[in-house]
Amino acid sequence: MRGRRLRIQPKERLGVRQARKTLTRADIVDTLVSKVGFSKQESSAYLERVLELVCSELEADRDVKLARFGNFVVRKKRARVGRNPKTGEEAPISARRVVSFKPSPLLRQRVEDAMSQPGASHDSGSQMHN
Amino acid sequence: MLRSELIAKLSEESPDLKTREVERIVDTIFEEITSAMERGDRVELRGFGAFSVRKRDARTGRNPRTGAPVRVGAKHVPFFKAGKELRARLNGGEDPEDRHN
Repeated sequence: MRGRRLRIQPKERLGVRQARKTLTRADIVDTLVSKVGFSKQESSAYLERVLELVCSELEADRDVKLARFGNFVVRKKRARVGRNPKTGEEAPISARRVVSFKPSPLLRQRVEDAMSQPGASHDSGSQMHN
Repeated sequence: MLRSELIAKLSEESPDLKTREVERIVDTIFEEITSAMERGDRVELRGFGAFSVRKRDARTGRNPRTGAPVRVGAKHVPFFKAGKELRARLNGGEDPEDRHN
């Protein structure tokens, strides 16, 4: 079995303190295999099913509230006029539904406590490749 | 849908699993995402979305009742961005963020 696949992101190569890693489905599947003891195939199917159930609830306009983790909330946005931040040009933004994630106080606390340790400062949220 | 309802639904679908085991699966998944964020790591689940940690700079806030300035220290907050497929599913099949539509 392959170990954790951890992709190191470019900033690290530029000499930023700690490695920033990206976990994927494969990493969560590996944890399910080692901690819960299901086969890789079963673990992968359960993970997929959990994610799919969350997505389909959101699609049906129902919020998903996971105690100790956070709430996924669907919000409706009206159409508005935005601006291209680079060129300053006006650009219409269509009406849409968006998902916003509201982390639970426990999750916030855990992330804040871990990040406030010396040398732990991070921002893993600035890259967008989705 | 609550955590308990998610677990109930999964248990129904998997009659060969005990509810305890389903709980274990769900807890492990979200615990794994949480501990990744504690390390400042990103979790990317294609189609679903990505979890990351964002740094918020220190700022001067205001007490909304009195208007008095309040120092708010720098902090790190969990952040989620919905993936392309989820954005599309919420918007009639097309991701509104995709400019090439």
